[in-house]
Amino acid sequence: MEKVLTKNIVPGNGARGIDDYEKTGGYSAYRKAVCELTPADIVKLVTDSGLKGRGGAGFPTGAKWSLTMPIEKSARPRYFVCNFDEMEPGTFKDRFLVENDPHQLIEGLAIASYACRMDVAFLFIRGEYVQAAKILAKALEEARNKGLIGKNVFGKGWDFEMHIHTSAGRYMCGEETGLLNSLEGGRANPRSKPHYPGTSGVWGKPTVVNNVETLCCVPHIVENGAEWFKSLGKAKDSGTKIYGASGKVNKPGAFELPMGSTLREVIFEQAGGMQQGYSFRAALPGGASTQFMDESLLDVPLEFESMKEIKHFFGTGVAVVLDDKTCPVGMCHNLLAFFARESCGWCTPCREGLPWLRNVLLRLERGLGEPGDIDALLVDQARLLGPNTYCALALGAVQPLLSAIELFRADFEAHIDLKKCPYKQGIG
Amino acid sequence: MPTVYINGVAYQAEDGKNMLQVVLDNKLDLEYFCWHPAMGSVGACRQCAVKSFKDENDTKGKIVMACMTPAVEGTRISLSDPEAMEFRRFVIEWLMINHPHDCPVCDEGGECHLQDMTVMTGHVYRRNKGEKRTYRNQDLGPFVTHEMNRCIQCYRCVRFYRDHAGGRDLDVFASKDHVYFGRKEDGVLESEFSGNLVEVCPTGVFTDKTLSRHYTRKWDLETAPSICPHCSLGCNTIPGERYGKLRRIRSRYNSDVNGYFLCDRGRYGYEFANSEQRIRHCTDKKALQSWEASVVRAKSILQSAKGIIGIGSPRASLESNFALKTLVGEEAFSPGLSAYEHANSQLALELLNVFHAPSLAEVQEADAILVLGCDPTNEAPMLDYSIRQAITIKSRLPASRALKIPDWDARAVFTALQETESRLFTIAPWQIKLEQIAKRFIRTDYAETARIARQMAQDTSSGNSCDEIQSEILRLLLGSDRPLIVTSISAGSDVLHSAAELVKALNDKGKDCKLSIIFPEANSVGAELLGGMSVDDALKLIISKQANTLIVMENDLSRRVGKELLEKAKSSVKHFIALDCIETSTTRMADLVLPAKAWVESDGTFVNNEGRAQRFYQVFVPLGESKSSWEIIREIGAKESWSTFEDVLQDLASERPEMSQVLEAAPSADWRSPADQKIAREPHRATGRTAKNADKSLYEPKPLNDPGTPFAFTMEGEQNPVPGPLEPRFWWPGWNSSQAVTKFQMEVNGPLFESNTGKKLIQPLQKRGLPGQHQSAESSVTSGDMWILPRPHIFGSEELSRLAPGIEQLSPPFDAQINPLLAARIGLTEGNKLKLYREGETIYLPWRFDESLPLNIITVPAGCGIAAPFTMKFEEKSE
Repeated sequence: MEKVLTKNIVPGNGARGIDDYEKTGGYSAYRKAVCELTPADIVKLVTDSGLKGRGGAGFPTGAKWSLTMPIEKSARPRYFVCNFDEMEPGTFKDRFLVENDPHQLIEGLAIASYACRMDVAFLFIRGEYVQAAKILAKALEEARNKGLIGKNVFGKGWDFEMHIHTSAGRYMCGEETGLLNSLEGGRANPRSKPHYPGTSGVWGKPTVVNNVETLCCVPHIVENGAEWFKSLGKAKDSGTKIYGASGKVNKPGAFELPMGSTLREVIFEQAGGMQQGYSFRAALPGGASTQFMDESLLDVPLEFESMKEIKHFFGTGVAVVLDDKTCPVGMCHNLLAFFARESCGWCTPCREGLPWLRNVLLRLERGLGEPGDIDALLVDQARLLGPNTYCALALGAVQPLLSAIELFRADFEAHIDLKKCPYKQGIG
Repeated sequence: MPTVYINGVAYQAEDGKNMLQVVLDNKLDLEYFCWHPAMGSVGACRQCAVKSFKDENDTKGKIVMACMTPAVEGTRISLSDPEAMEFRRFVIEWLMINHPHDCPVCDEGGECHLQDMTVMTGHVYRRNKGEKRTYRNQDLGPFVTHEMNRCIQCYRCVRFYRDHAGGRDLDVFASKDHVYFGRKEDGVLESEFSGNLVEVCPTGVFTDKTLSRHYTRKWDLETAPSICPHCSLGCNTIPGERYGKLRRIRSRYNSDVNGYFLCDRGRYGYEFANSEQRIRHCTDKKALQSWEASVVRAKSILQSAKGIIGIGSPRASLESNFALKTLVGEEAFSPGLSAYEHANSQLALELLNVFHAPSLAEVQEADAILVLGCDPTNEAPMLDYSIRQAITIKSRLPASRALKIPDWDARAVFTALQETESRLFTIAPWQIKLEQIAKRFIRTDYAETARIARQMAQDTSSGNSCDEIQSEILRLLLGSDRPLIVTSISAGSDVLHSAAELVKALNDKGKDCKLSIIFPEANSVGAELLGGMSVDDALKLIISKQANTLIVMENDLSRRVGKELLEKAKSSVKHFIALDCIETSTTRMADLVLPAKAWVESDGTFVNNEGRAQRFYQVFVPLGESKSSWEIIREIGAKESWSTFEDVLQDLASERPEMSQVLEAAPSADWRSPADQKIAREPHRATGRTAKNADKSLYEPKPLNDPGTPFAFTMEGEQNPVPGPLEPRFWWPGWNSSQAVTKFQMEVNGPLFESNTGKKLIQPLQKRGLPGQHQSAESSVTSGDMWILPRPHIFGSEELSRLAPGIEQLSPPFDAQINPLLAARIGLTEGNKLKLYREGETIYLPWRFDESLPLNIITVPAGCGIAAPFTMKFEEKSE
């Protein structure tokens, strides 16, 4: 099994410096890109590689780059933004990559900026990632000192700047357009679609936003080619993926596997299976905005295409495992409390609808549920789907509940019948 | 013109609209909150959800927001789709989670857009079991009450306040279901347009604080179309009255003039009409006297007079001024302006005959603006608002249009144009608020302002100037299609003339350059169109004994001329008759004082700064014995045949055929609805006519006869849409709030049904040459002179609105202002008053520092009796 992004990472060794990085071939892809390839070559390479956005939505990266307004017609400066606002519950893959191998991200962002002919790049970092921000700042300094960022890079007349921006700390700052508003100093409200950042992004200028893991793939694609990248995937999608697992498993963590690996591989092989005394009930495969998958789905390839076929979201690929001793209603309540808190307050359904669901679940947990609550929940959550809300926050927020009622309806009903949470001792 | 389908019916839509607009254009009902006709769509509230179908075979469809759906060829939506209707009910249900059930005690009740929309969706039962959210409210000053618990988070308030009105101190705080709209801390709202929050808010978060002190429900207000009397722009208003007291002012939509909005002076200045300073009865030498006796007395004075001088007023109606002129004759009439304002106004009228004076709507279409020697924010606030729309939004739209963003998609538009350049330059003697949105600004005196304008006019041919800023301004003006120069009577004839030279030079270069001139008061143009002399000259005729009798109508002469001149005139005059609605130092000087009606109590015409004659109608019958000034003048000796204001206008039209358009400013008094009815001033839901006075008598009083207008003082009569100039209020079945206005527009943002109010009296003829320049005082300035300039303020400078308590509270102290460096140079120290010499008169004024003032300018408050700028020399301290 070939490791690509984590090949040189030894957990516990700390962040790799630029010398270490260059020793293992670091920045050679960047040099190759700027000295030997045209921006169009790279966009084609990435398009051909089938790379899809690793932030969760899985939009083809090459397509996003080619939909960006051509520089001839464009206002300047143009911006590339790396979305490192990793705030999806249960997700820590980007942090793992950056804290261990920061130059891989800087190289990816530099190549991507060159490919999209951007003047300025921003590393937008989650506010709580203090350590990662320090590491990136140091790495950026090293890269700048080596002349990899700045004027006339590699003597090829390629000028560009890279800056670090730490987020004010909201889930919405990770939403592509909410991030741009936040970067401008405004509220992290999402922006009006269909006017995408590629034509009018940060400060109204053409902008591309990509996730950390996506950008980390770029140097390897440039180095090894599109076909090689495609061949890494086990099923339909290309490349490798940083999967992960948290919950009552023996070895929670992040693991790089071929794209298309299964939940069974992630949880029972990589994460060492369930802890003593706990058995697997279901898992959210890619952060909190995905639906529960129970045992029957353990062998579905975890990738954008295959998940779409079973009407699931793939998400970030970092699974949250539900065991048999944890209340699924309580878990849904916990997640909805998070999403209700993180709603930006812009559109009515999300702002008011999520707290409504949270409150119903809280009443169930406290034994105050009433017959009819479950059916009402089904109706009320359906109101938050599709284009009913302004952005996809609420759509993601109801995914766990949507599937939980289907999979664990008996648990929900037990809360009402027993007038308490059956998983809690002495309460109710 | 794309064809779109709504509920299966084909409609022709105009290009560039969204589906909510098309729905409202066609007078269909659809619930909405965050969309506003002047502010476009943002898609936040999700209330206007409809079902959209791909084509006629699509039966499934999907929910979309009508306000975010472009009306392109073949768009198909259903308003009545069950799923869409259910979703709209759900949105109301969400909003009602936290909205208090306080309608009975809420000031918005009865004209609440949220009430209307709730009823329209049919949401009835409360399922939510939780508690309601509670906020802490803020004290936002004397005009706007804040009750955040009612907020439904539509974001309209901050969008209006920040994006459109340029305010900075109202914002949205926090997030999730706890977003908060308010200020960082309690305090008076800084924007001159804060009162519009009351109308922009779809529910009772922001309500009219002045109304709440004498509260009346909308349905009990007697209303009629009116025009704001507090500056020269002529914004359209709807005053509301009950029991003889003026309760509030609302904006009256006029797509040519003020659109949907008003400034705070216009909205809150009305309380002067209820003030203790109102004159309600006749007095002779301070003793109360009956009408009859007063009329006899006035007639005998006039009969025995050896020369009568009549001084009219720029705040009195065209009719009253013409009546006075008829009474005293052309040679003895003054329109009531100071010598400075009179001379400049006459020059400005000549300029209006040469250049097109833009309406406020046309100002918004300008793609480059130069403010020349004036302060629109404080002299004519809605002009500031229009300049803001032009500069911060409309002139930048090419940037968003290039990205194919429709103009109505407000957030996408603001994203796209945020880094585009300002196309505004300002030149003013002091710091003006518009500098905040200007690309660059200059602060200098009027002589230098005129010199710069003139220099630029000469440089248009080369397109270059030796001065860097001037080159930049020239480049902007020459690079635009519809440039606009904004100036003011207050800047003096030199600036006015230089502005005209610049406009002419630009027009010679093929530009469509307009000239907007701010006049001092609501009817300055109307009064000045009648000709006559200045107040100074009129008083000099009294002093030189060429006349011994003085009639002053609705004018406080102490605002026009110096104390000395006024006192001399007072001691020279034999008989002094004053007509006014408020007590002033002039009425206190007069022997015979006759109570004139305030503007809301009478009918008449104001002519605004662009020469637009607009009719205002009597809203209610005032307390006391007052009459319209023209009626009083009729009774004391002018034409007996005048029975209505239209008779007066008929005479004006035959005497001045070029002004005959004034008759067409609104339909005439004999207008009747198809059912042969007059228009009811009271809405159909007014508390019944038999109940209104039941505390006094059970007999139903006979409604007052009103032969002069198409209106009736009752709730009986036409309630349906009537021609725009006559529309007394906006109220439509199911639409009780001011949002009902779309039902009265020909299309969203279009003119009112049939037409807006008003008719332009002046049509410019470009081929006319520029008027010759009069010798002006400014041109004789020598170096080392200090400029003493009257400085207007939105609150306090205007005579009538100053009497409103809220305006008074916000009026700055009546101080001179001086740069601290200059103060030090002339040895002005704390505790000493500033000593000014003017025409032999010495004036002492309290003062304060203004660090932004140039070192050769001292400002004095406008309206304190110093009507004109002057220059003087100060002795410099030698240290």
